[in-house]
Amino acid sequence: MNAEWAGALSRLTDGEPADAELVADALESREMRQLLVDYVRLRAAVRDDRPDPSAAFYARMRGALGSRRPPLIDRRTSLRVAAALALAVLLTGLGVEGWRHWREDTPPHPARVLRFDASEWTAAGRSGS
Amino acid sequence: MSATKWAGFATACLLVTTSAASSLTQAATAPAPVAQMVLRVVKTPTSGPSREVATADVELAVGESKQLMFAASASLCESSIGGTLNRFGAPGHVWTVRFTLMSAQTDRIAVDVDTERQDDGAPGTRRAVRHLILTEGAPHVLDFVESSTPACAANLLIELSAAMVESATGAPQLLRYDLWLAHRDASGREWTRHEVRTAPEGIRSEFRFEPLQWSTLALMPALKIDDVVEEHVFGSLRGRIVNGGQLELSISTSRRLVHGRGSTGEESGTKVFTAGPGEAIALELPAAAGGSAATSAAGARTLLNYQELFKGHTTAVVLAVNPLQGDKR
Repeated sequence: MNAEWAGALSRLTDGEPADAELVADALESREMRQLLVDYVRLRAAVRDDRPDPSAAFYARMRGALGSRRPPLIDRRTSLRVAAALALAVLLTGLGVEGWRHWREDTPPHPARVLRFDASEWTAAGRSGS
Repeated sequence: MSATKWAGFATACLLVTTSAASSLTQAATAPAPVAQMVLRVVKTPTSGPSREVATADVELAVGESKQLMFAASASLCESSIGGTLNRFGAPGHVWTVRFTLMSAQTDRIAVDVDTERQDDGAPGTRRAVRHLILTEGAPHVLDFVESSTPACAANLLIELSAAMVESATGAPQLLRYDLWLAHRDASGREWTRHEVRTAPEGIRSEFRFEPLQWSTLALMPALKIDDVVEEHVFGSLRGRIVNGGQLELSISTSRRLVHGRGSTGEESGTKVFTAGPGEAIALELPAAAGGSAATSAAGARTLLNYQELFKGHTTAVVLAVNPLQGDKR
C-alpha cells in the first residue's frame, strides 16, 4: 500500500487539507479506491454511534448484575444531605434548649402582686463608702 | 302526702345527710393546727461564749393552755426545767410560764404568754402578760437574770420560740419553689434572675439571687461617676399544704445595695399568704432608699442618692410553688 496516497485519502475523509495531486494519483489505484470506501464507511459508523448506552444495554447489565439499580444520588450528595440534616437537628436542639432556658429565666405573669407596707419592711443600720 | 312528694322528701333527706357526712369527713381529714412552744435557757459564763443549758417544750392546740416552769439557784449553778420542778437546794429564782395558743399558721403563731417570776428574798411575785405573734423558730427573750456570784455564770436569759407541729397522719410533701428576681427600670426594661429550691413542707429554705449590677454612669450620666452599685436580694421561705391543696406560704425577703466597700445595710420584710399550686405571686419590694458617697472623675465627692438613682425602678420577687408529684417522704 502506498502510504502517501493512503494518508492523503485519510485527511480527505477527515475534512483536513489534502494534496489534490496525491488524491488524483491514489484514485487511479483500485486498492486506494477500496480504502477510500472503507474510510467513508468508518466515518459513517462513527457519526451514527450514540454516546449513551441503549436501553437494551441497560437491560443486559441489569441481568448481569442482578437487581442492583442505578443510584439516584451519588455518595457525595448523600454525605451533604446527612451533614445538612445533622446540622438542622443540632440547631433545632440548641433553639429548643435556649427557648426552654429563656422560658425558665423569664418570670411568669403574676396572678397577684403583694406589696410590703411600711410596717412590714424594716431597715438595719446603714453605712456608705 | 303523695308518692311524688314522699320521694322528694326522701331525696332531700338523703342530700342533707350526705352533705353533713361529707362535712364531717372533711373536718376529720383537716386536723386542728397544733403548735409547739419551746422554753430555752441560755447561760453566759464570765469567760466564754453563751450556751444553751436547759430546754423544755409543750404542744398546744388552738385555745389550749399549758405551762412550763424553770428554777435556778441565785448563783445560777443549779437549775431545773419542766412541767414540774425537781427539788434542789434553795432556788433563787422561779419562773412559771403559761402559754395559751390563740391561733396558729405558718410563721404566724399567736400566743399569750403569762410569766410569773418569784425571786428569793423579794416580796411578792412579778407577773407579765405578753401577746406574741411569733415566726417559727425565731426566739423571743422573756426574761434575764444576773448571777449572785461569777462562779458558774455571769447571767442567764430565758427565751421562747414556737413552731408548727406537722400532722402525724402523713409524711411531709416535697415542695418545689421557683423564685425569680425581676428588676424593671422606668422604661420597662427588665433584668431577671431565677432560682429553684426543693424542701419538705414546713422546712425553711434559704435563697440568694446572683446580684444585679448597675452602672452609675448608665443610671445617671449627669453625675459623671463611673461606679457600680450591686443589688443583692436574698431571704428564706417556708410552705405547707393546707386544706384543699392550697399552699400556706411565708417568705422573708431582704435587699442590700452595695457600693464599693459599703452598703445600705439590710432591708427586709416577711409576708405570709396562701396560694394555689403553681400560682405565681409577686412580692414588690419598697423603692430603694439610702445612699453612699462616691468620687467623680474630676475628684469631687458626691452622694449617690439611691432613691434618685433608681427612680421609677421596681424590684419584685416572683414565687410559684408546686408539690412534687410522687415525692412523699
